[in-house]
Amino acid sequence: MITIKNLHAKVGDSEILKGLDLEIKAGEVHAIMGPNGAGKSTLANTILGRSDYEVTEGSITFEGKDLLSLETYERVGEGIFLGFQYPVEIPGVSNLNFLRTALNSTRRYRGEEDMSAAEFMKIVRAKAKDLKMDPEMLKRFVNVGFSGGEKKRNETVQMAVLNPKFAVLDETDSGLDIDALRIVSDGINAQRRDDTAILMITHYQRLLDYVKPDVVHVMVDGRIVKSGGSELALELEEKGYADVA
Amino acid sequence: MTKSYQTEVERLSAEVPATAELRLSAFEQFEAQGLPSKRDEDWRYADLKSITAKAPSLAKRSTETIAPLDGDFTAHVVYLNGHFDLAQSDVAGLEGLLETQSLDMANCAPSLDGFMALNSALMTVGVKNTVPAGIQIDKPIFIHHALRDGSAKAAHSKRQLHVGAGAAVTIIEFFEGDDSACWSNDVFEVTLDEGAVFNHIRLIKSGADATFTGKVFVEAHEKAIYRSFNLLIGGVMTRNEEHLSIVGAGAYGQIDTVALTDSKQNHDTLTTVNHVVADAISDQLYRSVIAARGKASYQGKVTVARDAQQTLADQGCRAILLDRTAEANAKPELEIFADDVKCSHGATVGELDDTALFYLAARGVAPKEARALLIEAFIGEMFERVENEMLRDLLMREARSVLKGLGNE
Repeated sequence: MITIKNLHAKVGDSEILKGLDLEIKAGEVHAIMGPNGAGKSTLANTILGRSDYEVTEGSITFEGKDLLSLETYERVGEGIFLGFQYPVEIPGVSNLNFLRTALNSTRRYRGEEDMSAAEFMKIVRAKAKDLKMDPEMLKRFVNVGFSGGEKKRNETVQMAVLNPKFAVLDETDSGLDIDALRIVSDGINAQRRDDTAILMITHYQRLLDYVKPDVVHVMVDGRIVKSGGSELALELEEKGYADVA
Repeated sequence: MTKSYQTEVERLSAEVPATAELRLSAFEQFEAQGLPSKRDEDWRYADLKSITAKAPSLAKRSTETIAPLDGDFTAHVVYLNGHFDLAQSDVAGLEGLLETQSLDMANCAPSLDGFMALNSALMTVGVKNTVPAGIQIDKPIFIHHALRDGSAKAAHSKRQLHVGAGAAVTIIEFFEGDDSACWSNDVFEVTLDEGAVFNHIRLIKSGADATFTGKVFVEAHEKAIYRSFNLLIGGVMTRNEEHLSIVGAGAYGQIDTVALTDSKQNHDTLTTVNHVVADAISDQLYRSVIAARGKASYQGKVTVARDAQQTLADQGCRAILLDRTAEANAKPELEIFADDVKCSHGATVGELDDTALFYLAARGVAPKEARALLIEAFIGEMFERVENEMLRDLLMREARSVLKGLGNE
């Protein structure tokens, strides 16, 4: 589904990604682990095309398309989703308005009609319920006054509503207590299908207890230095990055 | 420019001799002081070339059909090219609720500047309306000021409103016109008796090359409530002034302005609030969103007299610049002579939040729409202050209609 070849990217003057290769097929869940500063979040932001992240070499191909030639919103329209490590607060914009604008924007990009208000509400209510989110929170401003756990749950609701082909989840597990982790994990597992792919970026093994990855990668200094099955995560947890990588 | 105006003043004085004295003395004042310029402190942010260079002559009567805005109103009052248009107005609903007389010339507010003097000299609308004491007019009155001459002409209107004790009225004024370098110059004088309530909405939506200059004077007596909301859209130059004088204890004054300032537009707001007596509240909020090479300014002066103890006066001013070439000016001022008062003012100028823009992009929202959504969020809470839901929706619709275009020439 997505193929990354020899990806080099810099932020400002410093090169963060230094020749990264990664291929994820439909139906697969991959996890990237690695120490702070390895470039994990840079990879996530670069896949989405954030403007401060400059690709200097290499390619990202998504379902045969050159992703790097597309704007961020176009990449999302193609079916990519980024779950934020730090979800952004937007005072003055309600969650519902935000979700509807997002959903209809991606539909329009694909040449589809806007979704009717009734159908939209039905879907959002159902997804919020699946993730045990209080429906009242849908009326509140996006992430304003939400706890860390509520924000991550909100990200997961957004993912469920947008239903992407490929989701990149940047430390979705950070800041979650054990109950919230379980709920968010259920949300991720619901998105796991034969026709979707998921890339989880995480520091810890514990998310991987709930969402079992097909492949685990170790990222150090802008490159993937080792890949293996889910047992690799356990090994990392035990020995640390230095010994494994 | 005074020559061409002189002829018009003489013609109008001859047509309605009762107005001659007011016109001639005002014109004398105009000739003596001329129009303001950037050298005048109150006018330092204005660009008046469109008026001072061309001296637009009076617009002619027109029979063009004016489309009203959608909404549920007690009455429609249409002024077209500076003349009351009876045929297009619908005032039957005002029977027993609103009295209309000719202008009370003996009690006109003194002219503050050349614009106001010219307004007195050249007015073709001069009217006084009264809402009798105790009368509550439930649905808003719609006053439509339209300029459709197409050849850079002017309309001067002067109106007075007296809201009697305990009476309540909501008026929406819609100023709009064609895209020529036309000019609407309006003066509106309001007196609110004890306990009167006046909700005053202004939608100033000028055509591409048009200029608007307007002044509102409000005198609020005991426990009167004045709430204004001004939405400024379009035009090359829009100058909107509100002068509120609180002369009765327990009165409340609110002056809100939202300016959506596109490229090469100048939206200039000036307010004065004068707390003459103790125990009154004034609250002013101003927000502007300014595109490349646009300019929006706010000058607000609050004066608290020596006897005006326990005054509460707030002024909040925020601007968002959409481009480095956009210009925001903010000059909140406080002049306090009393010692037991609570007054505050604040001004911030910023940009749209990059992180929020990326967040929206990362949810598939295209840049234009993302910006519009964030701008709407920025001005949204201002609209919450408009009590009447129908008017709030109407204003929001008008704002939305320009949001996506802001900065996209």
